[in-house]
Amino acid sequence: MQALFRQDGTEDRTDSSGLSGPMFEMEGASVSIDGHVLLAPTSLTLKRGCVYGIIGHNGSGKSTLLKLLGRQAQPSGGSIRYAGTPVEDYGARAFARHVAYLPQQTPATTGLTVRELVRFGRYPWHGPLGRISAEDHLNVVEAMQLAQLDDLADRLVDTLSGGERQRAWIAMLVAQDSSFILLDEPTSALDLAHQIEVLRLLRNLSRSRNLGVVAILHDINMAARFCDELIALQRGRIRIQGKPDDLMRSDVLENVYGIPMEVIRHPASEAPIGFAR
Amino acid sequence: MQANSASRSVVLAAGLAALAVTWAIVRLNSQLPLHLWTQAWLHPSLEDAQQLLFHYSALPRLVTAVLCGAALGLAGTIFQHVLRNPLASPTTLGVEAGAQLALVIATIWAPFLLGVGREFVAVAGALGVTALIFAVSSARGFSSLTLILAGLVMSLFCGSLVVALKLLNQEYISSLYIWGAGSLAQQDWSAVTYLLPRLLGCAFAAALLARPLVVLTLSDESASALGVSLRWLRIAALFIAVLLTAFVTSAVGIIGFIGLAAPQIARLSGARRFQERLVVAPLMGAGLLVLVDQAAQASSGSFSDFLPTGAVTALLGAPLLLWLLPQLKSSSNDLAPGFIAPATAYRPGILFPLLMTGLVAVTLASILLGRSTQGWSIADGEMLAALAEWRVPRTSVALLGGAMLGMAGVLLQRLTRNPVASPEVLGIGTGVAIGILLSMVISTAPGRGLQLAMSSAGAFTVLAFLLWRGIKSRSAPDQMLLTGIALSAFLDAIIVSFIALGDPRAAQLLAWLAGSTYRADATTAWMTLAIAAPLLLAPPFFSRTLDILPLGEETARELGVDLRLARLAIMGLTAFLTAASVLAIGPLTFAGLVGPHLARAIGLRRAFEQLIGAALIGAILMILADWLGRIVIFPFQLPAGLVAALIGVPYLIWHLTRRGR
Repeated sequence: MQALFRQDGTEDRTDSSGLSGPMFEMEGASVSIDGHVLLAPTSLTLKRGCVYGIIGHNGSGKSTLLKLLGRQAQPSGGSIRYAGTPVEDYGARAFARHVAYLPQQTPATTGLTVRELVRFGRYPWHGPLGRISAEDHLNVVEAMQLAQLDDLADRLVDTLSGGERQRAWIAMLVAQDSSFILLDEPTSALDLAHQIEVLRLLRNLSRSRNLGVVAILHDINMAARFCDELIALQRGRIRIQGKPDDLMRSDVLENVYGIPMEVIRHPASEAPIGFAR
Repeated sequence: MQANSASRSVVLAAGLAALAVTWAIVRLNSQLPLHLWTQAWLHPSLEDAQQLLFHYSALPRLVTAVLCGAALGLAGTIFQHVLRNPLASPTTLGVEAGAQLALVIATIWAPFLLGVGREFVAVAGALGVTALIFAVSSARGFSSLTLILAGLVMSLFCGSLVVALKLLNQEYISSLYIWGAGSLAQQDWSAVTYLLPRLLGCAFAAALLARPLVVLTLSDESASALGVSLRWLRIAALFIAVLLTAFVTSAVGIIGFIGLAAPQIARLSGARRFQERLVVAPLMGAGLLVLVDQAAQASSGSFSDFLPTGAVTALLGAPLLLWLLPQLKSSSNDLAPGFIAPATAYRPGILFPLLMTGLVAVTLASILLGRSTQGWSIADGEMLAALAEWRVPRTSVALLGGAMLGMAGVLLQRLTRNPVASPEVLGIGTGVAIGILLSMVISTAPGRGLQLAMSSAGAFTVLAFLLWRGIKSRSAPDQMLLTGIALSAFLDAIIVSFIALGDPRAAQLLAWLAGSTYRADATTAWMTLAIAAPLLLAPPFFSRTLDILPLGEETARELGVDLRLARLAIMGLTAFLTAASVLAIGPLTFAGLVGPHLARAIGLRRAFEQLIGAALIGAILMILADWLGRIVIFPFQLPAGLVAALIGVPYLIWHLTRRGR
């Protein structure tokens, strides 16, 4: 059984090294609870190697959309396919080898060290009983280096600062070695320096590992700066989707946020900056 | 609208009381024709046995039921109002159990106190428990959940102490047993003459306090602004409620849950204002208790004197408690899902040899060391050979049972993300007891296999129910504990009723419930080993999954843990482990709570280490308990399970106070 898992895993990797690779396709997927529509029928295609930022009001369906992609919620209608196969057809661990997900509130980790937490990321590969291979070790070491956690490896996660803790969780997702990473507001509790640090890490990962990153972000300017594509939701519908340059216009932003907005250019970098008037 | 609903609730209460009285009259009429009642009441003819029964048994029983029901209804109303806690009641706060414990202690060691006045003894016990649960809950900002949790745990503790004392003092057992279980059976009017003036006094005091107490409906700030001294008002009101409870308990024993049910029904029927409930709830209480008492007499036929009404009210009341639990709002002071923080020192390399040494030491002590009429004795040579036949089986049964419980506790705490979960606290042991009961019903001589199957099924059912409720209530740990304790109160009531109905198989069940190891012989020991060996080897295979589960559903799913499969497998394993250990050493052992806790506190953080550590500590604890039970009151013996409970419950209470921040 163990050999079977390994084979399975190796296969995934060769498959995912292709440049275009597998992708997410949502077709008319919707969620409603007790007649209340959280997400209207939505169609969406997401590719690897691309950083997507999801923006919108509170309650606009951002988290619901992300939960559907991460199989944390079931759609009421429509379908979601990953690499051409409906997501519900994947086994629990098989899916986790393709898609990693970070919830908005990371749970308490009483008594866990950083290294132990990052090692959990290998569970989809070695499973409950499988042998821990050299490759598992390698991935953990690499993830810790990427997230600059080497000095913190033996600290208890609960004793870290907010930014460090967030990096530890992201390192766990990195060790998971998936093709997609989904993050629900990964920067919400962080100060400015740590926000930039985390977003830069995610963009670099996307480039170096051909990773698809889908993140819910609150700060429109951060989203514009680090994302390749923005998806704006409003009342459970995708309002607009496109390159940051196309979205960073006062009329579009006013439409999304429902308040008067203005966009100016950064004096040095020429990057668009949006703000409420 | 207000007036409407108030009058509706009065009508309902009156209706209930009328129904109860009518039924009582119809039943009495079948015993003695109506036209003889006046005569039987005032001057019973000494020749007519029916008239004597009517005068000295049926009538006083009816009046006692009315008085007790009304008193408990009033006490519950005051508790719920003053504490602003919809679940407060003489039963759920442990006040009844405290009064009972004090009375049992006085009966055995200081009978002269009962001559001075049994009410003083009962009041002292009731006040003691009240003070203790307030001390516990004050450490957590008087959270409603903690108060009820502490009360139910104290109930449990006092209950097991009472059982221990009864076992030690067999000569009193029959009278203690019938009285303690809440029997309303009467032989004369003494209970009525005892209760009536005392309860009337309390009711009068409550009436005097009624108006100032209404301001407690407001927030504390606005109430003080109205010029009411809240502190003394609360204390005075609580004192009245405690007195009412103590009087009832000292007269008839524990009549559980009437004090919870009556005020709740009053509230549901529309008595929204406190003053209305002060009138309606006692009426409801009286009607309810008469109804239940009549039903108990009607259903148990010739055994009616032996089926205690208290057991029946518990049977009806525990489901009510389960239903009401979601009303308790959690507060920030409640337990958070997660774990107790381990010590920073972390060297499992040293800990395991230490624990192993400890296990070997207590095992040797338990086999070699004993007491004889000449004092302490160390067995050697021939004497050892003779004694080993007795001591080795029971020591190994205690060892295996404790180890299995320790592992089951780790599985449960990680599965439910609840730091205080354990087979004993969550009522899973009681599920096992019901399973055994069923196996006795199915087969006249149930084999070990049938017992194990039925008891595992019982444990699994309880666990599945808890998990289902836990997922529904977003698994607040305190909620789950309360559900577990309420569930075990219900299952206990079933067992008590079964025993009280005089079934010949009851004795067997009773001996086993106390958690004794002294019937263990070589055959039992080998059988236990055969069952325990595979069960003890299984949990480590789940350790990776068990490491991830405490991080919550989202993370577990994200990492590819098949939640349904994992939960099912771990639940099944926990059920088997609990069933096998409870079959060996009884249900109330607390090794499943203390083992996992201590293992973590000394620094065994990962699931694998914690499993092994908890098994070792559980085994040490049970051997120690067995040994202590053997030597402490030599030449008599205490069941090992009972000794462990007497260690475990204070540990749990101490832990509850510590988790404040």
